[in-house]
Amino acid sequence: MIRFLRDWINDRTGLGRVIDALLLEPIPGGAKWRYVWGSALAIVFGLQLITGVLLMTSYSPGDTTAWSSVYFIQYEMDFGWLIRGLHHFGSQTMVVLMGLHMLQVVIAGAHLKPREVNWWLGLGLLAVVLGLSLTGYLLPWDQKGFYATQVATNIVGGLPGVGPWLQKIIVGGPSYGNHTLTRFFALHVAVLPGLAILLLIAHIWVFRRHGVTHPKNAEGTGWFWPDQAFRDMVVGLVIFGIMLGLVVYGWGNKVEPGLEADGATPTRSIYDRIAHAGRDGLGAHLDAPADPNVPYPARPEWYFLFLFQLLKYFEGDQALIGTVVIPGAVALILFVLPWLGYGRLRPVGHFAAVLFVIALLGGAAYLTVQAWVEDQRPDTLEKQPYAILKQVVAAQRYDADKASAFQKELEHAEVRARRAVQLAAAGTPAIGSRYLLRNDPMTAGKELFRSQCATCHSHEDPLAERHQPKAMNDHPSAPDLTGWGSKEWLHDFLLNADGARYFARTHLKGGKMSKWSAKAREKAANDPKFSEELDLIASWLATHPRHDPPEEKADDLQARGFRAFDRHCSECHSYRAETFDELEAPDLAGYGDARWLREMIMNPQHPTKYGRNNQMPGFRDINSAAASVLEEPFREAFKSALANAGDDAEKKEFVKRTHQVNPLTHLERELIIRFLRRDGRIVHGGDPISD
Amino acid sequence: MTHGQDSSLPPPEHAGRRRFLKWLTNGIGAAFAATLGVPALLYLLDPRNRPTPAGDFRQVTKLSELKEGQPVALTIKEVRRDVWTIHPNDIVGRVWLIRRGDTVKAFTVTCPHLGCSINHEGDRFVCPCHNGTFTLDGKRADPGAGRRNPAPRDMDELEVRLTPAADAPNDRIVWVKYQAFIQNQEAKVARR
Repeated sequence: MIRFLRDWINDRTGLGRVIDALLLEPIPGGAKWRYVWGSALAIVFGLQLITGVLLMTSYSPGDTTAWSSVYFIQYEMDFGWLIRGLHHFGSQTMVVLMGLHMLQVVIAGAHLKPREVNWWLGLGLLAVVLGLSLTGYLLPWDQKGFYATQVATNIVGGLPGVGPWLQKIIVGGPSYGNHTLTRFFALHVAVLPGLAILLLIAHIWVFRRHGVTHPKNAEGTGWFWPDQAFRDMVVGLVIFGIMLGLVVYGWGNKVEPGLEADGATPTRSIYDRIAHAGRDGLGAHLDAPADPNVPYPARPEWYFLFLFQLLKYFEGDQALIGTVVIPGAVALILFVLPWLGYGRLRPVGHFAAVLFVIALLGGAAYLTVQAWVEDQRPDTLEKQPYAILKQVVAAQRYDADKASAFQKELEHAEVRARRAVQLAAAGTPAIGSRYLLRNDPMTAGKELFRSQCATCHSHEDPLAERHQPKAMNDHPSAPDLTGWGSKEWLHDFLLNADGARYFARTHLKGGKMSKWSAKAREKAANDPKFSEELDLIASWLATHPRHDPPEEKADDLQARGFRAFDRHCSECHSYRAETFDELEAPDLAGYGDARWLREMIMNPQHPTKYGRNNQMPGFRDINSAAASVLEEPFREAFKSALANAGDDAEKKEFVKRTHQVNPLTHLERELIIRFLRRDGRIVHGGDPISD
Repeated sequence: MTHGQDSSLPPPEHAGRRRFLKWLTNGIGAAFAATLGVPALLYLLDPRNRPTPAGDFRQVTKLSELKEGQPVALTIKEVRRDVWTIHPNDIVGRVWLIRRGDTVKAFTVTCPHLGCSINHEGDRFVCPCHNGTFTLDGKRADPGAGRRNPAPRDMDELEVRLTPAADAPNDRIVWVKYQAFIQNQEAKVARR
């Protein structure tokens, strides 16, 4: 049946003759392992085409979507990590194989007459593959690719004359955005691969015309099929194995459980663990979403590091030497290399070419290692073999401060990358991937707390990096809000209201609460029953109660907590107060929930909050269009407070100070609220998923 | 892979070794295809892991806003997830509501034929694509002019729940459970 089908197809199409022509290539001197590099490149290129098309089915080239679509491939789709990982490491494999192939060709003298044209076709392929690497690096639209590629396009922009114009055309506008991605995408998936295929066909065609460059004393004849094909296939398999190893070894970011996680790890099936191994850190790395407002220590992919390093030697107005003159000269020499070996000069030209390519690869390797060493921490370079490496390539150049600063920035970027990946699981806001971090309570909310609140308050940084202090403010004049509203915080506060973490440096020190707390501390030490009552109050308040006062018979936490509160706290504190005139301490209904905090931030001098004891300015959206209407009641409150102060200048001053308002948008406020409540869900620009 | 009496054919010596090499080369090729092909296929089939979100009751209007026997199209808002994007409060669909006394009927606007949006025309619901025609109670009706009604079933009715309104004791809040159903078949089956 199969034979019949094969014969039928062959008879109608002549396909058999084509396959024969492709496979039955005689190889003078027989098949050799050293002939494999070209085929190995073709195999990996084929792999790149397949994985590339697969990635294309799920990738979305757009400023708001690109990063998240890559996130989805890497972490959510079945085997997305594997496909992306193979494509990522495949590109690096291509570059390495390209170097080996070039070296082998030059050593064999295969670039010399009559194979000049094929050498040039090869150089064309080299350029196209490097172009594919460069364009592909940008597509994930993460910080790394975004900043590294900016360097490349800025080099274009620095060209004399047409530079700025050309840069605008390549970038698709005055700055990076949607059209940068669509243009790079078109280059990466259509123009360059198309060119590569055409060049590859021509390359193989011309190769077949002249055959392999065999040794002069070659005896006998081998055949491509299956002698050489077998060797090619074995090497292809080994390379594939190495690539697979790199993917499985993994430079990816593990998805760590969120701050909200309860510590229980869900059981995963074996299929799930393999299909979504990206979550365990396998596969290619993905940096935080590109954000032009967040700096990043940009470095190109490792195989372009030598060019990056070369630039360091030519600073200022000499830069063109590093960006254009030297690379241009190298390209030119490579181009004319075959012509150096005509006639009797052939052995000389051959030797010169080998020397040149080895020098070129050696020089690139030297610069690459130098660039790497210059970025390492001093303590890394104390260990062998790095210490020797440093002595060899960068003994004078190495700058420990610069390197440490770079590593610190990199570490900061890593924290952001891990956080972005963690957040993306819950979905990306429609305004774009970068808003995962911009609207993240633990990233943006934390920074807002630092700038707006930590001038008086303090808080521990839950995501503090290795070299950062934990506390955001060493000398707070207001309470430390780490864990605010939790049972532990409340319990500690009840016993130590005057402590350094609470009222020590506030106006409230030595006040009613402080006195109550001092007494309570003493009493709790001797009276286990009272200690239990305190525990109950803390537990109850930690639920942020807003329930109706319980019925007589009820005996749950809410009822018992409420009664304990009523026995010990209600002399000063109210619960769901309806009239505000008599209040002298904060109303505790909902204490610690988002609404309580919202009211506190917006209007801390309200009678149900700190009222006349308040020392905190309000934080409201006073610059919005609606502010003029919304601010009216606040103005009224201010006026009446000022009137109540009478003629007492000191009191008046206090009222003025505590009725101060700082601008804070609704979004910013919600970010701070979620940060303080240890609620890590991102804020969707006023559209809550739930409160 | 041998075809005809080509003069370029390799010499027949070492036939056994050559056959083995061919077999091995093809074998490696097949192994390649499998290690890449199986994950690739599963990757392409990944959308199977994304279920249709289960609809929940959503508040759409108040009973007092609806006039007896007069259809009104209203939107359903829900959290909508589109692969990686999350829309916290997006319009996920529209429904026709029609009041009958103190009860309300709800139909999705999606035509059970091929999914166009059904319009209200006089005393009929009519789909503009292929003239699917329904009465105001969602039953299939004769499109007239000798045309055949292409709809395989009546309009897809949705569950409605009425709850007391907090501020107006005589009024009711209308909740609709929005769902999408599989088109172009007689049975009304919710999408999964």
